[in-house]
Amino acid sequence: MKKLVLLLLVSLCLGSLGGCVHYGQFRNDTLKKGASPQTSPTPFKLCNDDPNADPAHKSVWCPEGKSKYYLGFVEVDDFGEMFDRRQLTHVQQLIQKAKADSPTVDGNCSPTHNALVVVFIHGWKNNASDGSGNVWGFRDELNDIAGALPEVTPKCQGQKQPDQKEGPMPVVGIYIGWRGQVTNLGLASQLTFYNRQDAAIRLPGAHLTEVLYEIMNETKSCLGGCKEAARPGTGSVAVIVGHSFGGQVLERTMTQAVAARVLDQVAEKKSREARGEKWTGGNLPLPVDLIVLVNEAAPATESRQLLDLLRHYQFRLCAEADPNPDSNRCKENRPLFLSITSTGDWATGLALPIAQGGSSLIRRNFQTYHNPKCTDPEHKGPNCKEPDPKAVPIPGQRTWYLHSSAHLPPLFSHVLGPADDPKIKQWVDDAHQHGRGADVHLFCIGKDNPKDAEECAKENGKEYAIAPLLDVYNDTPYWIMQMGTEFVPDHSQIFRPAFRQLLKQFILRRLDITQPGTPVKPAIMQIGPPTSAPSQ
Amino acid sequence: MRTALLTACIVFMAALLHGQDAPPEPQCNSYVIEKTVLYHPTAFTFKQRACTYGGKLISGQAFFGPLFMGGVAQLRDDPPEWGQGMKGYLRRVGTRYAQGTAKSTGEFVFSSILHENPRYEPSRDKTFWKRTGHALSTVVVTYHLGNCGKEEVETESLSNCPKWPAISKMVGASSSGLVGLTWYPDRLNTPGQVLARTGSAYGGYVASAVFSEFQGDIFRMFGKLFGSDRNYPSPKPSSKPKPNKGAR
Repeated sequence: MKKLVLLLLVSLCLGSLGGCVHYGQFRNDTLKKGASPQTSPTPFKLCNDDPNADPAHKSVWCPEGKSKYYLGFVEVDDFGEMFDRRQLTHVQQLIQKAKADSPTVDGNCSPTHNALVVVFIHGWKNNASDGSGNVWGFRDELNDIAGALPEVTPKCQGQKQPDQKEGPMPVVGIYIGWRGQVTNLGLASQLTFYNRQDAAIRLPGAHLTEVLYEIMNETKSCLGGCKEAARPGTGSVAVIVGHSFGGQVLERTMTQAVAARVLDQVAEKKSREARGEKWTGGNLPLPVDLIVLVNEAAPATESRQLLDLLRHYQFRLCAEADPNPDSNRCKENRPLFLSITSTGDWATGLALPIAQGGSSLIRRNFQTYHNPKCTDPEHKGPNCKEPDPKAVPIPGQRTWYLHSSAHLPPLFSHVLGPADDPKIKQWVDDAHQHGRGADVHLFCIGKDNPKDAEECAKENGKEYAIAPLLDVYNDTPYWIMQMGTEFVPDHSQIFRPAFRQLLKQFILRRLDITQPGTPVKPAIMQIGPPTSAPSQ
Repeated sequence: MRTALLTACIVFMAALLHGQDAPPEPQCNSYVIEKTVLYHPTAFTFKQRACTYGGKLISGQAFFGPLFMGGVAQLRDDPPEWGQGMKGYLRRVGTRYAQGTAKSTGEFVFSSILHENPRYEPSRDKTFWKRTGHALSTVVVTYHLGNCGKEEVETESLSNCPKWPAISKMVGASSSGLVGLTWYPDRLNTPGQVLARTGSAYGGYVASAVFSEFQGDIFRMFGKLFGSDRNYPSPKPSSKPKPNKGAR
């Protein structure tokens, strides 16, 4: 009997080894078909169709045939270190090439050389190999985005310059790979949750910050020497998306950098005011248009400190500033972070709190938040008598630790749902009545740019609304909301047309890239006086 | 002994199938399979069916089910001929794993040959009973993908595909019922007992279909218990619904 058990265990162990996933770099351009890296002296050339290139290892892809997008890979190891710095250099060159090939023009039909750059950080059970579902989902997503963008030059017929190119705005995808998957075995892979969560916490560091910032800076940089007054290429759009544990990686990588930039601006404002000058806001000194966390598998303790900081300094981002120059509010707000989760995402709605609950048992150092003006934590609220959900939405730090931000309704900033839903209608009406009508956004899923709800319905579309919640804790540019299963049905299936249409509402909402003109209007910052009663 | 060896062999082979390096042609890619099943089910290839089959053999469900049900059978001492202790438990677990494997194999082989729809099609009705009825019907009849109109190739809808009996499920359940003939005690190998085991396997399909239909609602309910939708901010009672006038 003992021999039988031993045999079974040995078989299981050997079988498990067969399911191990390669640890190391998947995208290595020196690996050619049927050749070892040493016997391949061919120098790397961007967009060079090397017949010996191995598609499974190629790190840079350019539009060709049916694929209409540029794609680059940057991989980091289990400690967040880049495997190969050349990957970053190559994607920077790729962005420059896409911008050089861009046919975008301004109002005078002069080339602006803008591009749309989408960075994606995958989550658990994925990596940068062709075997990863996210790689192919991202490819499909890029191709669909590129295919949906209309040609930008036809409106300039007759005014075109001789070397003016034709076609839609180029789309560049950058896939950030890490070791999200350690085994292919269905059963064993389920048991890697804590191990991969630890990795997601460990990855953010100087290298990953450098990768994201270099990509964003390259996106927003001038093409070439920047000698032209039009500063070609600087109107490009940069969006970073993190899914599941990739959301946690992204949030941890960006939070401190964003906090530092915000605090720089606070210091600048103080300094100017000390000199008796007026600080008038200005553009956001961050080369990114939107940071998206989709079905993020991270506890809300990750977002808590940044939310508190943004609230404390009354930091806001405006698509359109308030006409009153003394106001520190916006006529129309826009997000810097968007944390959005599907209502059908049981992995972060149910499994994450259970997993976090397990690890919370060994952590006994959770604090309770209260209004510091009150002498006793038991006494709450502005009068120290009743709860004050606007200042302290969730008193127990343990609750923040158990759930993700987008599964904690007291942290929601917006609601999203069908425009004919009575609850949504009420929020829309309330927003209009309280002067927040510009923050209400109606859009059609299933039909692009219809004139009205009638045309949307006629084309088998469905009208949805995004409305701000009034008098809630989260009135920051860190937007948090949930979406229905019609956009994303569960935790994993994020590469879907409806979700793509939804994201477009946040990214290109006010930007008509089909028209000649600068496609990106920079966000305007507003900073108020620090609140006197921080929420802890 | 034979059961244990068979189990170990299947585990090892299935692990190898999934342990290969990333293929340049992503036929077995999870996203590609999902997309094919969702949007182009008629283009679902044999290789993709084989990948899904291989995945089923080493999934958490494939192991946890036998481990749990084997434990229940151990507690009930069913069948008593297999005794107690680790030997008896492993025999019960192995039996259930082998039955599950036979079920998956039968279903895989016949659904491939007969081009049956691999995906559970959720009901479009809203009422509980209609949705339950739909779920139950899917274990009896299924879409035949080999004879759809040309227009179905590029669409999510299968409404023009003919329906016929879900033969692969019937074969899968029968395989599960029959496979035990090789090692069950003789007194449990009567036609009645085999039919009971086949019925039990078929019941698994019924439970799976009902769960697939209602899983969103079930998880939403559990999600509420664990904090989702808690303290959802209510709209102010000041306003009544009016026609929308937001900027597009």
